[in-house]
Amino acid sequence: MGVLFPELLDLHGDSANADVLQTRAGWEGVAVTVTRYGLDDAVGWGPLARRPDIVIVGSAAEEDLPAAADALERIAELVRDWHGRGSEVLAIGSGMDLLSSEYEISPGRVRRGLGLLHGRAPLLPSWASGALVLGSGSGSGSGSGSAAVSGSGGSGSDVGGSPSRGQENHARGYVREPDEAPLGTVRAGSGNGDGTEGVIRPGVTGTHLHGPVLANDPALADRLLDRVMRRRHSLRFESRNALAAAADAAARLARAGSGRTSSRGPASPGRGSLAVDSPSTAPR
Amino acid sequence: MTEHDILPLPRSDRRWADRLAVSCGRAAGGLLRRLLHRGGSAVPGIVADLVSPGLLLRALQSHPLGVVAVTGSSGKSTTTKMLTAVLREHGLTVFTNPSTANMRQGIVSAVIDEWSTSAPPADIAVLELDEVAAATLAGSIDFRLVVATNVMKDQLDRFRSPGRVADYVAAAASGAEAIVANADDGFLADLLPQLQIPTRWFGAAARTRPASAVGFGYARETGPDSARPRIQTLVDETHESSAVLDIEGDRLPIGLPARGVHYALDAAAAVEAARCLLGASFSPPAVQRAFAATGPVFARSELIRVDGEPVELVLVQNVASFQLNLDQLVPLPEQIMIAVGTDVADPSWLWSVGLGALDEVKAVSGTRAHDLALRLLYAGVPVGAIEPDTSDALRDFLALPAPARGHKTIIVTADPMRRMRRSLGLGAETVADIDSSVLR
Repeated sequence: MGVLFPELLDLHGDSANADVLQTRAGWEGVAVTVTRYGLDDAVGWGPLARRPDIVIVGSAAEEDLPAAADALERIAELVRDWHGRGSEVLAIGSGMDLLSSEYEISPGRVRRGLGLLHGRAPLLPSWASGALVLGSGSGSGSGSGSAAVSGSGGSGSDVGGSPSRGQENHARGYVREPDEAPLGTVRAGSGNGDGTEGVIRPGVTGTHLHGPVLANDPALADRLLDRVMRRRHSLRFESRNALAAAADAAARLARAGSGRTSSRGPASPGRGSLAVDSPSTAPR
Repeated sequence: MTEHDILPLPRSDRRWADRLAVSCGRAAGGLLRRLLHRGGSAVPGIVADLVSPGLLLRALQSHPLGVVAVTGSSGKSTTTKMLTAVLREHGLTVFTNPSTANMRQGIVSAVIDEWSTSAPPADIAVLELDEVAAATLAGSIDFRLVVATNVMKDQLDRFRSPGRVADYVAAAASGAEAIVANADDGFLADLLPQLQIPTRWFGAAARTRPASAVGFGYARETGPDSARPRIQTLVDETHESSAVLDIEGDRLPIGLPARGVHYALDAAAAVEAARCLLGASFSPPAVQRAFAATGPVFARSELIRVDGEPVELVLVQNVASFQLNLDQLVPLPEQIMIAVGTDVADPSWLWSVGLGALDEVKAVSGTRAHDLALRLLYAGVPVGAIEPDTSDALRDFLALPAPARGHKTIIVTADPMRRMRRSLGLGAETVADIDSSVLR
């Protein structure tokens, strides 16, 4: 697992997604190493030559975007090579802009992105900030031709069926190419700016949901891990342990925005449990 | 805010309008307090503003030594209190606003509470100002001094990026006569010199920098010594409850409320600001007396007693304060409760705080309880009760038998802190001992 330039691409704690994947895989007994590639590191050389199975490109503060773009451009060929050889790339927030074919910096002024995403990222009419809620149900191939993407298309919801939600904070939307499916439809918030949110194409997933998106959407986390396991080891990946169940229950409750439901965490002694949606809390 | 009056009044009638405004504001505030059983409302400010616009500016400009603005992402409240205490110890009368009133309407309300048109105004006003309020007010009033504490990744849902916070702070400082700023803060060290205003700097010696990945917690740090502006007041050493400041070569030990280089930095900011304002009257012994006398007021954590048992309340606002406060909890308390509420619109920043040092958390609460539980579970920290209702969670937590070592510790953000204080009947003053039956 690799995290690119967290000094610049970690505005909302996006790099934590690598740790989420490592922890989740660990719960199922799969060992994962996480490498944070710093701006001063010799990415692609010596100890950092190994191709990461999953690459995380987080969100940058608007004032850091030029420096982040420069840093990515310096390793552009390497990143494209990783992707070409099977690495899964997760782009978050302005990370999506940096990986697009081109993105708008100021009205009329565009800069070329890495092109791992084929669409473009124009400025939205106004800054998008706040809760982003996706509709439940499949969002793949929203009527614009066939979506030939590997694995499952975006569903906009986790295995439990409740809609994904999180926070967004970005200047640009995203205009998908015909062969790019969205992650889901937008029920509240801006997302891509056209009623859809996010993008999926072979080997690349992009979303404006920042921060711990993989903790908030464990189905997406498991899909990524599953693809990697199949490619590398011809094995499947699925979370079937009690800790993941407890975490996913917390994620569901957080998404429901209940603020009213009490429950019990795992591995703790004490009074009777008021378990909601969680299975037996087996101690680790 | 402008001097534009709704009805043009002759100059002599302004004082009448101001008195009326103050009375109306007070009446509105009193009514609210009786209805809602709480103070700190911004309504008096709104009412007064309507009756006599420009009241705030006139009130502020009535201070002979002018207005000092303290702004930045964090440390505003502590720095304001420290500076106020130091100036008072030097014999000045100071008007200052409570921390809960650092935005526009709250400031006007604070003015109404303390300003009477018949009593002489205080020598100087020292205001803690939210970054936006400071920038806005700078458009109407020339601050005598602006103290810029730091720029952090804070309230990104409101500010979008730290760069914009820095822009607001620079705007706040742009009309000031002088500036006191943090030399270790990369944004401030870069932006403020461009204003071409006399600026003095405070900072910390490299060895006092926290070891955690968060460091000082600033969005950008200045980096190696050579890149830093020359520092007038430096935090040279930090100890359990004191620090040693180096003021252009002169060493000054001062008492502090607790460990933590962030307190020492706030003290350095306050001391350098006092030096600017007092000039030759600046007295190091007076500074030491001020810190010795008012220590507990500066603390961001508070030790209360419930049913005779000590309970520590720790207020956190963002990544830096959470990390720094957490790292101070040595040895780790046996019983910890954490509550995060609606004041945290975007809980993503919880994932930037290193929580791995925690053994377990007995209870998580607040409207963001589930987000918090999620964060802790992925950090490998077992979680006990997940109870979003703060009062229920507090009652259950306090009902636990006293820990064998140390005391119960509650880490909270602003919203659950307010709720807890209300449940416990805690006002601004710390009560000697609280009976937990108030929670039932």
